[in-house]
Amino acid sequence: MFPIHALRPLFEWAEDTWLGMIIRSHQYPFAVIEVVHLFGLTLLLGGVFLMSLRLFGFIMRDMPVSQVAKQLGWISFIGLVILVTTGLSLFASEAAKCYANDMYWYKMSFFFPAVIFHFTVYRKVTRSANPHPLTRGLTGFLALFLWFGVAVFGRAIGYF
Amino acid sequence: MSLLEICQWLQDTDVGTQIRESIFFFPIIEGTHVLALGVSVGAVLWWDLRLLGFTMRDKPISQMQSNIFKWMMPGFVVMMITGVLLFWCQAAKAYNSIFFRIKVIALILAGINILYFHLKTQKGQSEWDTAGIPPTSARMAGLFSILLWAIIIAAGRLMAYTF
Repeated sequence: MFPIHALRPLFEWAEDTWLGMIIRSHQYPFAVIEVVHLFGLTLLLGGVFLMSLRLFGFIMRDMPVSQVAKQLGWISFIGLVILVTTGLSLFASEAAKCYANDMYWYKMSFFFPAVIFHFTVYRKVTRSANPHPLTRGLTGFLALFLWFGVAVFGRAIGYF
Repeated sequence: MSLLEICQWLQDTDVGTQIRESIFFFPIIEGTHVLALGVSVGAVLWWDLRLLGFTMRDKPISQMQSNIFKWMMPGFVVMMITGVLLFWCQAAKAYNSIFFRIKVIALILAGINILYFHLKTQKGQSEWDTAGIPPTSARMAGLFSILLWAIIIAAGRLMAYTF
C-alpha cells in the first residue's frame, strides 16, 4: 500500500524547494525547527487531552463545553498552526526519506483524518453548550485516538 | 568516585545496558517520554495561563487546581519514570552533554518555582482565589513555569543531537 507511487512527484518537488535546501544546508535549522515542532505538539496534545477530559465530564463540569472550548481552544489551534508550519519545513528538508519511510505514511494516515475531524465534528461538538453524553464521549475518544496516533507514528519515523 | 565515574557505572549496569541496546524497550520508553509531554506540560500550561490571568478569569484558582492537577500528576510521574530510565541507560553520555546539564538546571529551577508557589505564595490564596488576575507573585510563578518548561523541552530534544 505504501509508498503511494502516484504521489512520488510531489515528494521530489518538495525535496528540491528552496526551503528544503536551506534547511539541509546547515546543521542547526533542522534541530531548531524540530524543537519548535515539539512546542506545537505540547500545545496541541495538552489542549486535546484536557478538552477530552471535559468532554468525558471528568473536569470543569460546572462550565458548559462551549465555554471551556472558547477559553482554551485557541491553545490547541496555535499548537496546530505551529505543527503544520514546522512540519511542512521538516518535510521539505527530507521528503525523500519520508517517502521511503512507512512510519511517515502511517502518520499522514492519522493526520489528515485528524485535521478533518478537528475542523468538522470536533468543532461542532465543542461549540455546543450541552452535547449528548454519547456524542461527547465519542468525540473526546476520537480526538485523543487520532492525535496521539499522529504523535506515535511521528516519533516512530526516527526509529525506522 | 567522581560524578562521571558514577554515571559511567550506572550506564554500564545490566539494566542500563539492556535498555540501551534493546530494539524494543528504548524506543518505547523514549516515545512514551515524548508523548507524555502532552499530558504533563501541555496540561500545566492551562494552569499557568490561569495563574497569569490570561484565561478562565471567572474560575477560582483553587477550582482550576483541583480540576487539572489530579489528571496532570500521572503525566508527570510517567515523565519522571521514563526520564530516570532514559538517564540510567546513557548516564555518562548525558553527563557530558551541555544540553543535559541545562535541562537538569532548568528542572531544578522549575521545582524551586513550584515549591515556592505552593509553600509561600499560596499561603494568602484565600484573598485572591477568585481574582481574575492574581497577584504578581502568582503570575510570576506561571510565567517562570512556561519559560522553564520551554527550556526543558528544547534542551531535552537538542540533547539527542550531542550523542
